[in-house]
Amino acid sequence: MKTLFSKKHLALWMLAAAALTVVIALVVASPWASKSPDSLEKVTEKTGVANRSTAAPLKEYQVPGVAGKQASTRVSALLGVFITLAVALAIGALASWLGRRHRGANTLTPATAPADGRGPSDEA
Amino acid sequence: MHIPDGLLDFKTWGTLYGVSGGATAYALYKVKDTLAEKKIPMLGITAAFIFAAQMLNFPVGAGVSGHFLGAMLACVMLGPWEGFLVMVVVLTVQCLIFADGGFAALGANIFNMALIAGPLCYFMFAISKSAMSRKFSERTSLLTSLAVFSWLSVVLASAAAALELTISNIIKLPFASIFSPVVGANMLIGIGEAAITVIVVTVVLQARPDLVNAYKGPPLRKLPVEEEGSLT
Repeated sequence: MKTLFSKKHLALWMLAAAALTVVIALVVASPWASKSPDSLEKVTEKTGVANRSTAAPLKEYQVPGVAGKQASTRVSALLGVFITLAVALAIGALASWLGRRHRGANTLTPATAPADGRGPSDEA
Repeated sequence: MHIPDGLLDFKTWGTLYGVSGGATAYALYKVKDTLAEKKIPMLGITAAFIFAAQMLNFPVGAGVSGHFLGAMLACVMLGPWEGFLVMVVVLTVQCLIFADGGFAALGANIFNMALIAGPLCYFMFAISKSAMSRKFSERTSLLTSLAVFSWLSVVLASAAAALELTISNIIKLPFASIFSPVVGANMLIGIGEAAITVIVVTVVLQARPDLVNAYKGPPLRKLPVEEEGSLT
């Protein structure tokens, strides 16, 4: 814990706090995003070809059962952030597991991090 | 520029599913030996940030909106194939959970926004950065190349989408009348893309340059621990 809260890690904590603040701000601001179509929708909507949208649990960034369109968008944004985080961590763990299996017997050998040798290697 | 379902024909979305699937397998194979455990949290944070940032559409005039893409940000922060995987995660979650981008079009969307805007632009960025670093500092070379190629990443991804819609010929519009408005809007969106990408990387470079995978130079300011003995 001493190293985790040392001066050396101050920059990392500030960075983590900044990232968290930005993500929270983005979630709060999500209902205020421009409602205009994007460039592809703009072009295709005139052609009359229906954009068949797929069925999905949180379609159009709305959570069924959450009252209020804005609140619903915010909840969906928050859920999306957590789902994306979890899936990305899982993919990272999968790649890391593939690497360990590939290295076979040397299970305890840490992966060679590209960051090694050019910075503090003991980040939190 | 997520392509919805119903606008691509089978040969186009089928082919691009193959290419994107292959690229994803290659990326997993490629990163497995270099992905250190301590890099995994960064993978998650980058993906979550990009997801949140992509929600915020901003107007680009004439009743058209656009949003941040983030492929170059992910590649520069984590490495080209790690960045590609981050984009695959974001696009797949958007498609399966939020119906943002069609299911049949997912391969095409990964091809445009993860592969073209990611590793392809990253390798051009890397060439530019190394050419520049003969004359300029590592930091200047990185940030300048990043501004140019993050702009280009959005433009190329949109051009690819326009091309795919033309080849599919379901909306039956000539190439120019798809290409001009789509790529035109994305040339403006690219300015926002470049600004956000450069700001985020500048902040991280200032705080913890070792967290920026593409940065190979010395720490920009000495870490407090090292400062103790060598204050100038």
